[in-house]
Amino acid sequence: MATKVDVIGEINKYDFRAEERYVYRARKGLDRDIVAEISAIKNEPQWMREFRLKALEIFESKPMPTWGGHIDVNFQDIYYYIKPTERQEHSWEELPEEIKKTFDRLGIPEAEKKFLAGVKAQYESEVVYGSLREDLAKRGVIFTDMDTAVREYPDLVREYFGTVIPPTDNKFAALNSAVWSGGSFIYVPPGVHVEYPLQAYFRINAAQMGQFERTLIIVDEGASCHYVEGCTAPMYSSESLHAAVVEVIAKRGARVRYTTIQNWANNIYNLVTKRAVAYRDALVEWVDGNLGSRLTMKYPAVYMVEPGARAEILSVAFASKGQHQDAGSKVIHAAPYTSSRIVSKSISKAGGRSSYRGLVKIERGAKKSKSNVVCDALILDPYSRSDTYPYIELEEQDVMIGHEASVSKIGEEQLFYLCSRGLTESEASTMIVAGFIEPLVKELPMEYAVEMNRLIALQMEGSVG
Amino acid sequence: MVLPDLKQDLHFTAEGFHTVILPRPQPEWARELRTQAFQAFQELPWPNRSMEEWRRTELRIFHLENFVCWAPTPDPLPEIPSALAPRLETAGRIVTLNGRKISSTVESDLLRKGLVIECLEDSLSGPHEELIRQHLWRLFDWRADKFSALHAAFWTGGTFIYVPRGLKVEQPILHVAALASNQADVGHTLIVVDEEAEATVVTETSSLDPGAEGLFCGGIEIFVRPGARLRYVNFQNWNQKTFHFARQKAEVAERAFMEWTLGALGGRLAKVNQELVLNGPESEAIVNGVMFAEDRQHLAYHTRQDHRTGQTKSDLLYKGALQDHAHLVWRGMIRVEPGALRSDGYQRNDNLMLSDTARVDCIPGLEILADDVRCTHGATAGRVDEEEIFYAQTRGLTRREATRLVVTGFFQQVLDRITIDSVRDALGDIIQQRVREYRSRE
Amino acid sequence: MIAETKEKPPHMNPETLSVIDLHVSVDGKPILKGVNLTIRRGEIHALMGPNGSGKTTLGLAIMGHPRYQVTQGRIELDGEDITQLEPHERARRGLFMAFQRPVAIPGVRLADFLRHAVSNIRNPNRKEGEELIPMREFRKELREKMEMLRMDPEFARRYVNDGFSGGEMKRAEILQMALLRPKFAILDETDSGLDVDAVRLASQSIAEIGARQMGLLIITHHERLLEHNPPDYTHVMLAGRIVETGGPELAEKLHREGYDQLREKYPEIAAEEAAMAGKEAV
Repeated sequence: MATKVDVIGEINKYDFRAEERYVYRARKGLDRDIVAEISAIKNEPQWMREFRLKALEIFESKPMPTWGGHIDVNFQDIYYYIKPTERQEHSWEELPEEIKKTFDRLGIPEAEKKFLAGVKAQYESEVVYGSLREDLAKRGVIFTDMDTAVREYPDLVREYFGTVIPPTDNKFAALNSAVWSGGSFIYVPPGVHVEYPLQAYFRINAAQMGQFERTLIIVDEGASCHYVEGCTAPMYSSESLHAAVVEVIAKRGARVRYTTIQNWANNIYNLVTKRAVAYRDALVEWVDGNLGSRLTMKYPAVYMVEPGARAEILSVAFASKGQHQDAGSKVIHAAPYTSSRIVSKSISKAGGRSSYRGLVKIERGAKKSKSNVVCDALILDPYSRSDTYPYIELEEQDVMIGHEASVSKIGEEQLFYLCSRGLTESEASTMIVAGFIEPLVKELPMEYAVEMNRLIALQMEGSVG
Repeated sequence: MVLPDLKQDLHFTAEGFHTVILPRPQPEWARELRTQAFQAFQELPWPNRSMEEWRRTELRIFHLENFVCWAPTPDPLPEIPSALAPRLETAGRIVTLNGRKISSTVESDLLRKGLVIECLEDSLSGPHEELIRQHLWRLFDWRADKFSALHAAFWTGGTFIYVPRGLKVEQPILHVAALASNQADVGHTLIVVDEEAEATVVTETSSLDPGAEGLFCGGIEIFVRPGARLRYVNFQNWNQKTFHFARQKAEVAERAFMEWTLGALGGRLAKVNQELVLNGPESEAIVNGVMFAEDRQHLAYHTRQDHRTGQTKSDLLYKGALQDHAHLVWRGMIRVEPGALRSDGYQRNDNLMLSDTARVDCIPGLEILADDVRCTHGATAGRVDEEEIFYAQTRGLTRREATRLVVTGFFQQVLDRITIDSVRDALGDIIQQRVREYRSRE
Repeated sequence: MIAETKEKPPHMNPETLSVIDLHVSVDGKPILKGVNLTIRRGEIHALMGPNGSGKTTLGLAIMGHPRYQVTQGRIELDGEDITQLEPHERARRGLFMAFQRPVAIPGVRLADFLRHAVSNIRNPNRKEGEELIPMREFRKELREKMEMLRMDPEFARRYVNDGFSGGEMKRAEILQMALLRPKFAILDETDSGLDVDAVRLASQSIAEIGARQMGLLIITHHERLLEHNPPDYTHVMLAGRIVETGGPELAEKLHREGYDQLREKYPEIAAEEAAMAGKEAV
């Protein structure tokens, strides 16, 4: 079953590929048989198998979106399922050498050494490495991969799976629902605070591979947790597809923060549906950094369904050559006294295009709701493009809504000032860009903040302000 | 002109087109264009809510078959109500009824200097034919949707204003567009302000009968040539039973300036595209919008600020207030084309919600394809600030007076950008009359 | 001396503003816990106290701010219970407050606003929609008052408090007081945010506009504001109560020594103050 692909050396830290060695790979293409096969290999219960097949029908019936970015994917030319190892390893040493090398290069074990609460690493379709601090497990915290959760926590999964994002939501949510594999499952019991971030890494190694992880996070009443994910893939000549679904449920008084640093290779279509439901006085925070991919279409959403619920969304997008970052956020105020705050920063460079697309919706009866949106964009050269498409829909008068957006280039005075202190123009630009995204970076765990700044510096290399 | 023997009620149909529209005296190029537009009208689908631009606008209440494409002008002429006419000292006036001119005057000195205020259709084959031919439809995309095609196929009458090179017209030119009961106005307006000329043009719409239905399906093209200055006010004040579909577009050339104000008060359903094209270095435009909707009015305004070249500046401020079950839509876009360096674009939309059942959608937008630019937009919505009400109350104003004051102040900020005193004051007065008791507190 | 005024039944006091056992909550949180205060026309009262002690709350409650709920006690003006009246009704009966940070009303010109206010307050029975005071008459008076306060007449064309500097805001408030000629005025930190010269100017202005004929409640930290308006009484608030009342010498003493001695003297109230401050921090 294993296939071999030539390795063409490292371009940067993330743009390397390991030899492809697989225990199992389903054939290319998408139909009922493939979906049934995935379900069979995973030994899934009947309801999940039916859920997948129903989702496939929905996927096939839905047209491609006509807005956003240009999607050029042949759905029949993709591997929907690859299994890299036989089983999930619990200690690092047990992992196959190739995968270990890959994750070593990504610095995942280091992350673990820094006392992180748990790490899940997903390689192709399956989660291959997982650990969870013992004390958390004792307090009833569940952090496992989605496949295991379906087997071991069937009641919990069945109660919530697909309730926040049903397959009918959009074409790619339907696709994910049909062929999902891996992803994280988190349950935090009432009143439990997970002090350290829970982490996951996703990586696509094979060419023409689709990755369809499915994440479900349930934070029970008065509990809190912070989940961090990073994504990478090497550069292949053909496009790959990443279509994840992330569902978050924040019960009364809960706090959830979900941080993503997305650094897919520049030929990945990253079409992700992320949505949270926030109940009374709950707080949901999305922190979203989009640096990689050919096209990202991702609009983390928060539905505030009970009074006092809050949403904070902070996002940074960097679109460089050949990239289109169509990212944004959605907040639905469906109850009184709910509030949301959105800060979006984007940078376009070398012909890249970044678009902010957002929705603020205040439903009738959501009195005393507040929403504030600020979008700032930097364009670094004359070949690049920046768009802002915020939608504001109000059905209630007793609210306070503010939206501001601006697009500009790096200020000449700022550049001059830094250069007058001895920096080159390129250094100065990089520094200004780093300052521009500082509001996001300072919200990241330390090692991600360092990484983020490094990635920005890489993106900025060779650019003259 | 010999009219064909008119049967009753010719509608916007093939029969109507071939019986009364096509045979009208017009140059061949114009007739040819009409024919193409009519074909497009027949082919294009009716707008529906799956189209992004119509997603928020419900057209089901509109029935084209209720309107005729041509009706003779009544004799004797009815009295034309106008809020602005008695208050403006003008350089010239034109009054249209159902889109067709019933009178026009130009101050004799200006007439001698070449100022034209005329019926557009009549001018098609006159001394200005070539000028009109060069400009007509250049800014109006009649393939854009079914209403645009209808307009280009069926338009009659209309208004042509030409301000010759270097002529500075101090006082406003007033166009009162009136609509009789159950009639349609498909008039086209063409305004050309030639190089280094200056003028102020005010269009006011007015329904003869406050309770009768009406249809406006019109287009306005405005050319502000190099170095020219135009202040243009379009004051849409139909009754609340009128359907208003309008496309207006202005092209502002190098070193030219335009101040463009839209008042949107009337209409049962209004769908307007207002487009500004800055097409030359140092062109500049200020765009003001005042929207006030009540009862079940639906007002949808789509604005666009196109920066085609560098060193251009646009500044848009739209303010809307709504009460009862009204629905306001404002969708704005600033587009900066590649290479349009040192463009400065601004757009802002503030909304005041005066009832629990009103609804507002505001969708600002930026598409920036050049780097050395400054583009900003802002939008706010909410109800009247209780702290402001309290403050005014501590100075002896009743709650109602305080509210009215705050709402008036809200609009004053945009009215203050209008540099024509008489127009500003008249608009302010009309809005003040419309601001009724604000009943919300509970 | 104070006991004497307290004992007198308020309805026997025409020309008097009385606050009787006033308890006020904001968003359900008690701020004032039984305030008693009586001001006669012609008197100047200074109200002092640390931040958060409830001074501004007292002023806003007297003016009838809707967020400031009176849970117990009452406010009387010339013997009439005004606790339930709307703010504009209180204003028309002769109450005025100069706010510390007056809210901006964009788009509304100061002159138009004041003409409306003056028309209502001079003619408390004016019905909505009735004529305002004649423009000429009003303009003349406005010009005079602005001259007196050394204000540029152009200032009246600006939007109410919109983009005003600290000094401009305070002067605009004093201008309103001069035009509205209230019976009783509450000046909430009319000195805050002003430099020494501006405070002196404000202080003089207050005296010049005939404050002596009014009853004044001056909420202040600044001795200089009292320079031209020496208080007949000084009250000190702590944790929502008036804990001490004295003459002008008390104000001087507090300026010299601060509030710590008072806290030592009233340890229970000081503990309450600390608890309230703690709650706020959360």
